[in-house]
Amino acid sequence: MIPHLSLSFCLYVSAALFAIGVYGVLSRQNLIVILMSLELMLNAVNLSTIAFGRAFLPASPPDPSGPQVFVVMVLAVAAAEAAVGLSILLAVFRKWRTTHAGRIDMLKG
Amino acid sequence: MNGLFTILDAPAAPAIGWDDLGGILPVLVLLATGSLALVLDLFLKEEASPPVPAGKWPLSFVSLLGTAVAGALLCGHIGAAGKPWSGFLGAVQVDLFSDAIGLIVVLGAAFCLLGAGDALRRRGIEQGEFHALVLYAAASMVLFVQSASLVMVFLSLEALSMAVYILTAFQRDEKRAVEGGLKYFVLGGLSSGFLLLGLAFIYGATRSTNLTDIAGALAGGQPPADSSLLVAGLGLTLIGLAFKVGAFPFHAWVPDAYEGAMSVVTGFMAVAVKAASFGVLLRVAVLFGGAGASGPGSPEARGALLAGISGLAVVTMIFGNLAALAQSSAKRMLAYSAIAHTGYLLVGAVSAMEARPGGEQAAGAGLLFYLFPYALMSLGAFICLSHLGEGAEDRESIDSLRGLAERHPAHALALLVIMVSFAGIPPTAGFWGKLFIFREAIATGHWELALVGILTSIVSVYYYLRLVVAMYMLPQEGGLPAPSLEARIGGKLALAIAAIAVVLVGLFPGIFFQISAACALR
Repeated sequence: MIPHLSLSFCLYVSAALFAIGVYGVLSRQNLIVILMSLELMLNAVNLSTIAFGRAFLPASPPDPSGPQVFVVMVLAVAAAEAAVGLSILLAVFRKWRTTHAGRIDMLKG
Repeated sequence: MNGLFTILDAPAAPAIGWDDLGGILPVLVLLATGSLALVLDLFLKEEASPPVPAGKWPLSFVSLLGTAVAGALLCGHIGAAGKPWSGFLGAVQVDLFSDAIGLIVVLGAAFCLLGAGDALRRRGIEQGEFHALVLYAAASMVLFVQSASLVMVFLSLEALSMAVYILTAFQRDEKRAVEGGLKYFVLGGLSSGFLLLGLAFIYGATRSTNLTDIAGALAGGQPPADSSLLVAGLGLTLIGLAFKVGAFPFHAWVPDAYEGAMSVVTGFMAVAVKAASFGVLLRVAVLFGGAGASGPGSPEARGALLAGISGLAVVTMIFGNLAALAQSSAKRMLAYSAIAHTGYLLVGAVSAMEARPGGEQAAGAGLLFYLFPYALMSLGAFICLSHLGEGAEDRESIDSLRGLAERHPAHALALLVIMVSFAGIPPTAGFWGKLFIFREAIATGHWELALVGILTSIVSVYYYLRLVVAMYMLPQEGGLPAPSLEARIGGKLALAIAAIAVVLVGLFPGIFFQISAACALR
């Protein structure tokens, strides 16, 4: 028997992870950590989506696969986003020789 | 084990067939042309070191042909007044509204591709990837407006964003371009996170991932399972979309990404990304907060959306116009002006929410009409900027435009027409766009939004005419080099079409307004 996890518990964990992600993106200076925080945000949302899907299961919507498909799609998007993000990061490092966000500051005004 | 057998025994699930693919033919054409451009590039010879004037013309030709076919298909659907069609198990919904927004997106892609030849050749980066990315982005944008499921909204949004992130940083040996791309990526990723959380909350509150089902249940007087969760979800979704359209507190990426990217890409971003995002914003706003659509279902959602969008509209109009006053770079000035125009478009979204289905006002006719001249003006202005400069170096400051009228009268005249239209001076297209939007706002009782809009438009005249004064009246300064200009047939054609169209739409606004009213959301 799997111990029962309540919906609200999962949502609190998800909210905490999401908040950590947002905090990381806004406050950290290292671009790689920022990238990690972005991924954390997406995965936090995955957790709440799947928790909702599990909680609604007894109410039996016509097709319970909706949230699960959603999560798989988001995982794929997160992978693609990491690829694009890392390649932009590489281009930035080649030109700027730094991954410190505060030092990349030509555009202003 | 039991689970497996129930799946096998279940009645045949509705499947996706050829009809579904036929319904999204314009998207498929764009995708196929993009892939074709990618392959075609392999067979084109690398250029000799002094670049040949013609460059890789087959690339431009093929990709332009693709946008023309996609545009013709969309026009055909509008012309035939096609009925709303829903496919892919309800994930995609094609109606006249999505066709009209799609048409503006395709227009943006076509102008970008037409003008891109010069910009790419000047920098020695004429690669098929550019054309492919523009076409892929356009395809995702059309799908974005057509999406009727939360999953589809997120997928197509991410697909279009990622293509545009790469386009922004396409000139990857230029520091400013990669910096712009990076900032766009980080803030875009953040906004996608908010949007995704919002979508998850909407799902949690309504127990469905299908927008049409959700709206139907709400309109039927069935309250959502959790009303406050729905409001939170809609608020987060609104924040995500406000990032994408560049509304005020979420605008930080706009000036940097617009300045860092090549000017033709900036034009594409300003037009296509904004049009597609506004399409979805309007759909969500009208589905959940429209006056008639979701009447008894969730009054809280309507109140929150109305307050949120009106507030965003006011601060965006004020901030965009004031910040544009202070700029010394023409490109950055246009970036802030793009923020200001987001504000005017948000006013259109607010009045669209007041329209009752079946009533006299069609929801979003003013917004749709405004998008068209806005697209022409932005594309024209940014293509004109992309012509200024030598080699890989751009001349983007307002002072560098001094003396342009003497040396290149045609370019100066085109830019003059576009700036006058941006400022909303009659009888140009921009004037009618603002008139229709503000008239709708007053007719639906939001006169305070119209008032702020009119006052800020008056402020905007100053900075638009600064460019005109620099071109026509100020002497060329000693220290600055003479304005130089590199443009071949494609770019000149794009600029000429944009300027002439701005005048034509200004002279005959009635026809275009009727088309927008016919295509508005029902």
